[in-house]
Amino acid sequence: MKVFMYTLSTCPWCRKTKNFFKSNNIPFDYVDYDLRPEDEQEKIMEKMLKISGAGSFPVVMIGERVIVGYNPEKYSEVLGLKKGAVA
Amino acid sequence: MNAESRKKALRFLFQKVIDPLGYKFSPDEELVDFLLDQEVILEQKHGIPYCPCQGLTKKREENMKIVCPCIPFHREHFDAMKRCWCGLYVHKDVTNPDELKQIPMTEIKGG
Amino acid sequence: MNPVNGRSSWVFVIEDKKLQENSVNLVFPKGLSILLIKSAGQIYAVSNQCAHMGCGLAGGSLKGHTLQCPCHDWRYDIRTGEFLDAKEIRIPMYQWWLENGRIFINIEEGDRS
Ligand code: FES
Repeated sequence: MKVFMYTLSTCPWCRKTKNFFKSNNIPFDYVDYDLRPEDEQEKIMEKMLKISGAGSFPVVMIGERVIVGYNPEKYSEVLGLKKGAVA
Repeated sequence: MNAESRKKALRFLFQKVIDPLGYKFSPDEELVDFLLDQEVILEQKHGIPYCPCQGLTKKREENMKIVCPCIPFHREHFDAMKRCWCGLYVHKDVTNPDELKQIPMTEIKGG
Repeated sequence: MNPVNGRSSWVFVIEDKKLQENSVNLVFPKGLSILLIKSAGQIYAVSNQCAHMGCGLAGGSLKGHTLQCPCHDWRYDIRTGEFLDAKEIRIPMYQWWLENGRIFINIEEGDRS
């Protein structure tokens, strides 16, 4: 399953989210919203507002599923990881 | 101004805002320290201590709703989580912030 | 009853005729920073300091009874001092007294007279 996330370079929960996937050896792509040029930010924000109605980070997409916020239990569930996945 | 003294100043200013709203700084000191660091950096860049976990846009009206402490503009959402989105603030009765989750508003509204 | 007589917390700040309708007047009784606002003929005296990060509200904008901070747009009701988005937060209000065209302010915070 493809994993992609929108993150902020300033947000500790985005860091924790990236660490979760790293620790569980799950490859992922991400875009740090705040480090992108303005026109790209605008497009990303538009998408995010459609998804969650807010500009809150992180937004994690695992296959078709979208999870807003740092939520290792949900990530594990969607990924089908066994209990004891490294949070 | 050096970052440490600005962090102290922000703490002092924001304490007065969050107290009447029923919130306190998170007992997770490491998190608080990191978030205030980020806010000082954001303040140096934009002149305003924005939330480090919400995205800025071109719209001033929207941006003003994510200036720390942004609790007044997200009251229902944060009260439901017992914390603000970035976790800098928690309800006064919270002793273990690790038990609190980031839940998007759409899920709270949907039950 | 005249509260001003012999009470040192009451300080003369401005002549009534200098107060313009719907404008924000900054006065400094004994070094305090207070706004006098005349709106619909009524006078209000509120702190000049925003409850958010302390910006001077004098540079903000006034629409009806709503005063908006120039820094991050927090809005206050000048009749009560309440912050419109969270009424638990308010800026201090001060009592005032008009006598012979002169306005006095009680620099001890309190309810509006
Ligand atoms: S200082 Fe007034 S809104 Fe921030």
